[in-house]
Amino acid sequence: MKISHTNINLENIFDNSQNDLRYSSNHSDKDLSMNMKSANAQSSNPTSDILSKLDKLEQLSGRRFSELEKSSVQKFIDVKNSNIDEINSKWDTVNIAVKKEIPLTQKNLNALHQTLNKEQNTQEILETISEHENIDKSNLSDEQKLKEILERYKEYKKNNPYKGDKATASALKQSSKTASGYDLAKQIAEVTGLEVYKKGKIIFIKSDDGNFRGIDIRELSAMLENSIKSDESIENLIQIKFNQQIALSENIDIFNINLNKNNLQYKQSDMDKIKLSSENISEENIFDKLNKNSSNQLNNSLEFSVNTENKDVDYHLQNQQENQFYGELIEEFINEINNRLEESINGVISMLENNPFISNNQSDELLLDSNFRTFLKTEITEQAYHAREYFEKNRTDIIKNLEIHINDYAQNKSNSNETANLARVIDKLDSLITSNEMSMYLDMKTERNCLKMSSDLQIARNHLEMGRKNEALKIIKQAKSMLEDIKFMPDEKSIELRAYHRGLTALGVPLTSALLQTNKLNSASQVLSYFKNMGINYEAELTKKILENTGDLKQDNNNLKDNIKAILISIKKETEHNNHKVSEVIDSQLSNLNGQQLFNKLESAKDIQNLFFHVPINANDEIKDMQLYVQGRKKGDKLDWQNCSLYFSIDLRKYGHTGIHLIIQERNININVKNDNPTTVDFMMPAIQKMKDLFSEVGFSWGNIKFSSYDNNKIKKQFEIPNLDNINERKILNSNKSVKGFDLSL
Amino acid sequence: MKKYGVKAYDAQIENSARLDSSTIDGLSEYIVKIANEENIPIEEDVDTLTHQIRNDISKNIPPQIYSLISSMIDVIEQLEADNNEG
Repeated sequence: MKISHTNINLENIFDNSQNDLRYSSNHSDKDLSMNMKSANAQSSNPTSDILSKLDKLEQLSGRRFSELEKSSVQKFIDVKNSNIDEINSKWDTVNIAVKKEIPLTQKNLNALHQTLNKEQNTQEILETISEHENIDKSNLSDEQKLKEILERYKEYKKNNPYKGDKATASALKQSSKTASGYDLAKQIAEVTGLEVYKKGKIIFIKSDDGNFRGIDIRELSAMLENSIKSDESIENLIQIKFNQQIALSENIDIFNINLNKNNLQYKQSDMDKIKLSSENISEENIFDKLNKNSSNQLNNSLEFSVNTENKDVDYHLQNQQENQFYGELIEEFINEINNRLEESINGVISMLENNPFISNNQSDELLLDSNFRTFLKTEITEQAYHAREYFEKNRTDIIKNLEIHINDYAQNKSNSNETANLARVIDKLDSLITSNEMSMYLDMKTERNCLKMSSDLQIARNHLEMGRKNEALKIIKQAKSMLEDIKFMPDEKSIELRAYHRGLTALGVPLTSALLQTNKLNSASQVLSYFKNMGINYEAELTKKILENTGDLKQDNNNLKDNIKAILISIKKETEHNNHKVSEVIDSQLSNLNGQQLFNKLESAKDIQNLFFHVPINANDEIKDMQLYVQGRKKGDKLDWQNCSLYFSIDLRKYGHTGIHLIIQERNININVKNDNPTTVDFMMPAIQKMKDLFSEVGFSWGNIKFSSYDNNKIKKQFEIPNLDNINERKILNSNKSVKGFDLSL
Repeated sequence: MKKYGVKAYDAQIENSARLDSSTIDGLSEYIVKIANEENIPIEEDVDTLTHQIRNDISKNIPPQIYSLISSMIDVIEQLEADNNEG
């Protein structure tokens, strides 16, 4: 279908949405909320007419409410304890729930109401989490898990001794809990036959090269489980991991080492189960990956299957020389990462020392241990390596796909799937910014380049939809060459930050707290990460993991849980379990997060999607809440960024309530600033100039700027049911009084 | 209700954003079951969970939007910093 929104008028978007908000139009021309408003205003006894209003709502919406729902609404409205403004505001919430087809439970209504009317208090959330000493609990549970697995492992080894084990079956039989308590390190030493000590959440084990190397407790648990599953000695598995660490940290000729690893007598199927990265970077064994590398990433040596689903990619290795060349590229990359880590590791350690969450002696011991530095460096090199893998794999796929477009065109082949294929290429490009694998490893410049390419390809897609092949091809060629030129190299800051985060988790500090405190949200991927850290995407991510991980979830388990929502649910469940009253803060913040998710419910049957977010603003050592409404057309389930509207609302300390409305039509941004401060224009113009520069870098063009008053009471509703004609424009300074607002062409 | 095993969802793994109401029916129960087994905290209201699963904001919201948000954060934080000087 051809898209015919080339000259779409923004008001049309909102008109559509307005229709959307109305109920069966044959009943009434007026918007439901208006009906409710007037009903409220006229009613002398609001208590009595909730049911009759609900009847009306049923008629208008065509939806039938159960008795339970009706009773929930009554309890939610709570006429006796609410004034008329509150009642009206609650009816608005009911309205939204009905419009979004959300079940009218008290919990849902409260959550929606909470998120739309109350601020999200990030500081309060952080304080709550630390008050509940979740830090210690998560430590305990990790160790508890390891103990359980150690017992199972010992039991297993008694019955299935393996010749190569350094720890003999008889030694295992003798081992038992020591009188002074359960010494984890000692138990591990007994089952592995290796020298072991433990600091923080890291188990240091003596490697064949004589050095002590660290393994995270969670990871060791997983390795023990895998050892049982694959009937492979734990000592061997540990040694494989260490060899790979040595290869990465010392930058030995990885390509050759990798080939030599083929001598190891392990079944590939078992090896696949072994996850070496505790930071859930990769599902595959690194050696397995290294083997694939040689074929994955050499653009010229690949044969790309033109399979339309774009997932059955056949890789074909062409010649050894290219492999060698590729091996050198990896070496160069790893060398660079190692150098950067070497430079920043001291800074990382002192950042850790100064973290307020870290105070006990055990942490100090770990921070002073030079093996801990090696551990951090190795872990981050490994992560960066996996990020590079992910990037290169996707880059190769995208380039090959773009080549298909170009070749088809050259040969005058017509391909009926070309727009759909291009859409998939765009998705793949976007995933370089949005995927967890890449999170924080893409430097800002590369991210902006990727965004620009994504935007350009979207324009190419628009051209294809309109049958303008030449224009599309030109853009595709440019994007391809731009992508070929990108050199993937994480910047020093992100490497340092990653090492810091890894250090925090090694010390048992929930990563989320650290992320909320340290992250500047100055890139697209960081904003998305923030929402993920809050837990707004928790259930979607969890489902993805469960579906991908068939039975092997334990390893990711803890990373999955490291988000604010999961932590709050844990605290809540535990409090309830102990028959204590759940604090209002936990309930209200959970409600707030749930409310955002409910409001953002995918409106699959409609063309327009409405979204709402709380966005944190760092201001003078406090975190302020900025509210964001997004409304836009959809392409499939995906919001159409070329035609949408974003409304930011915040109370600025010096300038007061400020609303910034970005109205985007065909990538062209018009901006409407709403503020009652007499100096609005003075303080906003430099800010707008900055916005203009940032926006244009990622593919937006710039339209008009309008200034108008901040309509505090109606603003949310304007966005819900916007009517831009009603905006009360102000006269600006000395500009022509007859002009409504004014245009500033930048 | 249909019985759901992991394999039934293999086809969906590629792009969970494409889960629609017909295939997602029953998935929420499955996820709650696995999460409870693995001691993962989760919303147990199946209806709510269904919405949450479907709206994967890393897929349904394109990165251009996040980029706009990050630019706006940048600008607003700058305005708040002005505040100090003023």
